[in-house]
Amino acid sequence: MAGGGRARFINAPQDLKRKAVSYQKGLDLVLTPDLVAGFEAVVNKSRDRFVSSVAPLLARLRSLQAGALASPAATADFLTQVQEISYTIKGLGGTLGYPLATTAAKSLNDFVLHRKGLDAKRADVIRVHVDALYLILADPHASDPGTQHAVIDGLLRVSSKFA
Amino acid sequence: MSAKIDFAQVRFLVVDPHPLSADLLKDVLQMLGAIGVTKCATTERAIELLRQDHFDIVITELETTPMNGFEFVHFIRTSGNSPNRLLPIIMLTARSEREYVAEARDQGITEFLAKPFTMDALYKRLVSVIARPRQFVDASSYFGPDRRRRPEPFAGPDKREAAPNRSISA
Repeated sequence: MAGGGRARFINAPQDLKRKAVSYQKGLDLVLTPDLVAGFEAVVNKSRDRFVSSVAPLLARLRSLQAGALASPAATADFLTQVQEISYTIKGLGGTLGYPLATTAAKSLNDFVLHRKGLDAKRADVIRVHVDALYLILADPHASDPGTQHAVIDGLLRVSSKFA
Repeated sequence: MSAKIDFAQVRFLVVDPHPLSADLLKDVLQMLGAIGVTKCATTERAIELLRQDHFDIVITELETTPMNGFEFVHFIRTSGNSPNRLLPIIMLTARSEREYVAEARDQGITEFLAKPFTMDALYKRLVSVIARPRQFVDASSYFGPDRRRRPEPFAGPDKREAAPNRSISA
């Protein structure tokens, strides 16, 4: 237990190293092409599941958005859902080949984080983010890089304007 | 001949309330050969599991409940009820701004990895935790892995004293 007085060093625990590291069996300490290929296989498997799982979540946001301004409770519930769903997309998109989704979701997550209330304009800011996420997930390579950059730039600017 | 890691020997506990994220991480760990990968959505359940079973590495989100990730790490590192104060903890989170990284480090995480993660980055953290364990520091305001990654020269008096090996885990 940390206490008063001088700091102490405690030798690094070796139990895990002793049981998992050897010269006989296992994976090299540096990434090999086989491991990279294995990772790509996992990502490919997860990518479809990601899109099919996120699409209904975005649909739920659209559904909730219709009544989000009806009462403080509805607003709070909507903002919680937006926060959680955008956080999930932000965290996974880039790993699964959707870096634009991560960027758009980060913009949305930053916009709603710590937000307590909502008005029509700010609800619209959320709506355009959700629309953009739909488009990105439908086809991440549908538009040229210049258009993609313009979309993300637009999201960031509108978020900043109505922050 | 070079050293290797047998991931089948490593038992992981993944704490993440987001099912998609937890599933992806479990799939990646299993691809590496891990057999013992347990998922849970709350820190309350995580603490139960840590008390019931042996785990070698915890990988936790920051956005957890009822404790957030910082509180969870703080509990493991400092509580008298902690199942294992020396447990390696990797924080894997989409909150990757500098202040979160600093706070996670100061709570005693072993490694920090931002989401979205790459295989390369995750693998390096796993190798570091398993093959290059770090000494711990027990100080008045900190208990956790030594936060210094590189030895740096210091001209002042040495205020730290080496302690013999001692069992900290409960």
